[in-house]
Amino acid sequence: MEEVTPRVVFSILGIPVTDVVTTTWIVMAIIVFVGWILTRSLSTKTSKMQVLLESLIEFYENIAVQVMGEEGKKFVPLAISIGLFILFSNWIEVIPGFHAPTRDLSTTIALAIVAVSSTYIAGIRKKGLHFFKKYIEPNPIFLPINILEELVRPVSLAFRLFGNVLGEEIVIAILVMIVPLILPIPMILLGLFTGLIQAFIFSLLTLLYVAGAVGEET
Amino acid sequence: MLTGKALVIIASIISAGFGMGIAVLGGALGEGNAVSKAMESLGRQPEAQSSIMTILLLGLAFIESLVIFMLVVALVLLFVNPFVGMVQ
Repeated sequence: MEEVTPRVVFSILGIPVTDVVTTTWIVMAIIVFVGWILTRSLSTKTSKMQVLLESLIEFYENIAVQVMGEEGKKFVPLAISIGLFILFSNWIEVIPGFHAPTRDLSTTIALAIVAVSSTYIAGIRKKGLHFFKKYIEPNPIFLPINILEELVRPVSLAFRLFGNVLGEEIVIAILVMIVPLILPIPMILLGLFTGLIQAFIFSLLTLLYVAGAVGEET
Repeated sequence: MLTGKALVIIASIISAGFGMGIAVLGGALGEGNAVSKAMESLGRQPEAQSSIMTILLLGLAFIESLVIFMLVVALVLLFVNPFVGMVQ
């Protein structure tokens, strides 16, 4: 278990700074740098990387338009930024010496709070106070259940990502302890795949929750 | 003679193992069902592949998250058990 728990790198004014935070900084730097490199020379004569980026954005825009119509396109940047951050966080563990920042519950809860609070902001912007009417529909008796459902959302988002990444890291740590040579490699490849899936799921659920908040009453 | 602490530790380990087994059993059955139904509809309508895949992944993630909750509970029981400190 010591291999995967966050370890303190240094401390500022008595506040310990773990490697989760420093790895997050590195991930942020990588994303900003890669984004700057890729968008530096945009043109109508598309290069290969531009086609890749455009197809990624188009993929999300199609989903957004499917679930909430044309207005869904303005929530695509939110979903893609969350997804890219989680993707790079999950994938950075293939670099020796790094661990995924998403294996710490603090990171995933922060992401879930961002995702869920953005649904409230979007819903209140769209409908005003009518947004809260959905809690007493179809009947005020359902108020506790509806509130419970709202509370379960960020918890399930956070724990899904956290449990997946942490479980996989523990499996890899145990395999490295038993057979350090070649056996962990298939597990690490599987980890790359689950990391991609989890990033996709998290951003897709963000989009769906926003769609549920701004969409028509059903 | 077993002390109270040893009993708590034994109970934690056994419940973590059994809980994980039962959770994985249920999750595997559910996911197998979902995938088989998705394959059936894919065979019937191959042109709907992209939307079927998206919905399938979403549903699998929901089923998977229940198993993951059990994994988190098992990890808590095994590594940061709050009840070991309660008995002397």
